[in-house]
Amino acid sequence: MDRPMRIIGPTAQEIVLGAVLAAGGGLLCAWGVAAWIWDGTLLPGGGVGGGMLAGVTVCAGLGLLMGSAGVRQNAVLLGPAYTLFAVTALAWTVASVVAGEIVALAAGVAMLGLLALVFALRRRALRARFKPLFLSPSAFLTMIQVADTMIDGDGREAVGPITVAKRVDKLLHDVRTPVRREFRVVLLVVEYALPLAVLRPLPFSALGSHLRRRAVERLIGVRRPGILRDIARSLKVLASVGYYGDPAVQKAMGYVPYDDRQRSIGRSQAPLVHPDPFRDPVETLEVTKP
Amino acid sequence: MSRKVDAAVIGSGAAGSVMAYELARRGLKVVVLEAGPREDPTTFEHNELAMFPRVYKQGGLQTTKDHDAILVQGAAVGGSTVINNAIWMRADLDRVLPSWEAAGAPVPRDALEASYAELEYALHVEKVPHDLANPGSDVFLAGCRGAGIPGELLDNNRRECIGCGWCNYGCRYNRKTSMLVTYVPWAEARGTEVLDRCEDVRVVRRDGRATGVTATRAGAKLAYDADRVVVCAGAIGSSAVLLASGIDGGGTVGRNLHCLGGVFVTGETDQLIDGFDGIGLTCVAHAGDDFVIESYFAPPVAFALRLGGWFLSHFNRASRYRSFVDGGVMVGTDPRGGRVSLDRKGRVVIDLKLNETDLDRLRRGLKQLARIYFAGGARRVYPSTFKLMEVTHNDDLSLIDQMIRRPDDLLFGSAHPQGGNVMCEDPSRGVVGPDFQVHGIEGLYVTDTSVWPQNIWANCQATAMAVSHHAATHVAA
Repeated sequence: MDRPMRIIGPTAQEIVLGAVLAAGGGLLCAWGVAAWIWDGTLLPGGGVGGGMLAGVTVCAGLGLLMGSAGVRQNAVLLGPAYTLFAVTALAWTVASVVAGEIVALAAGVAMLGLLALVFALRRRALRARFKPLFLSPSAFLTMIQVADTMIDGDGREAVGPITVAKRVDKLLHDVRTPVRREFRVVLLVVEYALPLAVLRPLPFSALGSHLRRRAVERLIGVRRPGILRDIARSLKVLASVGYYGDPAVQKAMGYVPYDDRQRSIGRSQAPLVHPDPFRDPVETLEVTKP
Repeated sequence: MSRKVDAAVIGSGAAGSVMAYELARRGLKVVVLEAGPREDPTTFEHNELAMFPRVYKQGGLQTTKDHDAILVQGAAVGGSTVINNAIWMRADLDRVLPSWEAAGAPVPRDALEASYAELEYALHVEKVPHDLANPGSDVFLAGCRGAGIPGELLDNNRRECIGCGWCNYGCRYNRKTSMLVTYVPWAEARGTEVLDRCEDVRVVRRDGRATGVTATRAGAKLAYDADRVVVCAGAIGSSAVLLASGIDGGGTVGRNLHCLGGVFVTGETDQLIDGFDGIGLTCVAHAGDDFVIESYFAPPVAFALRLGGWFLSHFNRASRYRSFVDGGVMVGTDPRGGRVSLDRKGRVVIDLKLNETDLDRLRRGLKQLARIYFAGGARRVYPSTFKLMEVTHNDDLSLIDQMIRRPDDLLFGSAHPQGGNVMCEDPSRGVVGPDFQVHGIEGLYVTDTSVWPQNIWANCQATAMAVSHHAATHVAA
């Protein structure tokens, strides 16, 4: 059983990302507070809008700062924090352009730069951690949660969801079929649209296990046939292929490899050669004429 | 620079390999172009995920446009014979040939029977040995007896099989007499050149006559001038080759696609069966003309994929893998609903829908197979459905009618697609004539399952080989 936090230790990229988040979060908090104090100097415009912008900046900074304590464990916090940070950076930039404030514009541009750096680092961190061959890093994260949701063994699972996701990714990398592109779309839909089925505007991979399960149950329960059923079926296919393809799982099911069976004892496994039975002089049947 | 051959054969499966061999046997210089790779059987693994990408078309994920059916075909030198269950089932010619003739496709019975006989001799066809059949076969046969339905072990083309049960992933011991280890090397020994990994295969025509083929292989262009071009890329593949070559037969190419396909049914017993230990597909129940019932068992991934249920219920059921028996109900689908076409990017689009008659036959077949399992001692029966259906007694069989109302309610699949380039004397209704030559294009032939105008209601490989064997006499003439 793989344990997401232990077996695959933090990568260098994750360590750097954590440090950048901590530093960036701290700076954002400080900047937000400073802007609130010196609102006439640092904030683009002022009044209630300016105060809200300062507040949002502090919140985004706090989110990043707290999330930096564990970029894996705090994924649920970091998701909204990234979104809030992106909104903050855009708001600073747009508002400062409208107000013609140079200092605020510089701050907005710096925030956008930091945002780009954070996203690049996050992507690299995910890629370095899982080394996906076909899926994007975020689709891989979704696949982990799909596996965690679909393979419910009540604690008796022989392998964990990361192993399942890795196996699925490898298979999708190896096969040549248009369907694999559709699986990518399925994972995208599941990540961003399926949570709406349980009234949560959050990514699927940020939901708790019960909500994820309930969302998939809603999908399965749809009465009208069509694309929603196809999505549900795809999730079962992906999770089952990844899970039941593992030798440890097969052993747990009771499958016995051929070489370990009673039947194999004393049987030659040497490949046979089949000679052409119609090669002269053993041509025994006449060729049929029309 | 084109090379000159007497015949170019597109595809190396059941039909293509036999065709290549028969032409080479008559002294013709033959080249075979195969889309799949040439695999070394000794490297085949007992590992489903390793083998899906190697020997299955689209890694086993070929589906219809609406994703309601999965169509399983091989993609390697040897075609689907590399991944099939080596079941040898002659078509019921009393039923099939009149239906073909009524569709404008007369095929002489004597010639076909002679072809069957020769192939059976060459491929070591015999009854599946009882001691190599998976243990679930006994439950199935006992169930047939109990339900009053004749059942028996099937014929198969294997020699000195050791019963590993991995036939669907390539036989690494060469005990299955697939084309990869029989007709392909035999044809090569008679001078045939077999080229694997051929992409973008096209038929070249000039003045109403096929003059050769072109393809791309490992990035290089290939061109062969040929007196005859024989398309044997299978149902779906052959239509795709013709359409990509600009041959649509006035709209007939790709039409009338049908299949022998169906649904798996799993029966749970109170004993340890170990169905994985032995040949997977072993028995048939003769339960009427409306459906085909066969017993089967699969390695873990294929088994789990079609096992009913979700979440914990699926997990718990799969963990009782050793206690299951497995089988399937198949029906011949209506040709009128099926079509192969190419989209604007040249990708193959498959339309194949079950109509109400097909569904009704499936429901009746599912009930019959459930009766067989209960008579054999199964406690619970699970048809492969989208929503879990658990039948616990013969009195519950009405559940099947209640829960299976649309094709989408089933997990439907087929390893026996047919049609698409159907034979008909009337060029407005068919692609090839009774001589297997494409209407209006001299020297171009199609001889595989795609020419079958009506379903044969049997596993395809024997008849695919026999029809192609018979067609070789027309092609060589």
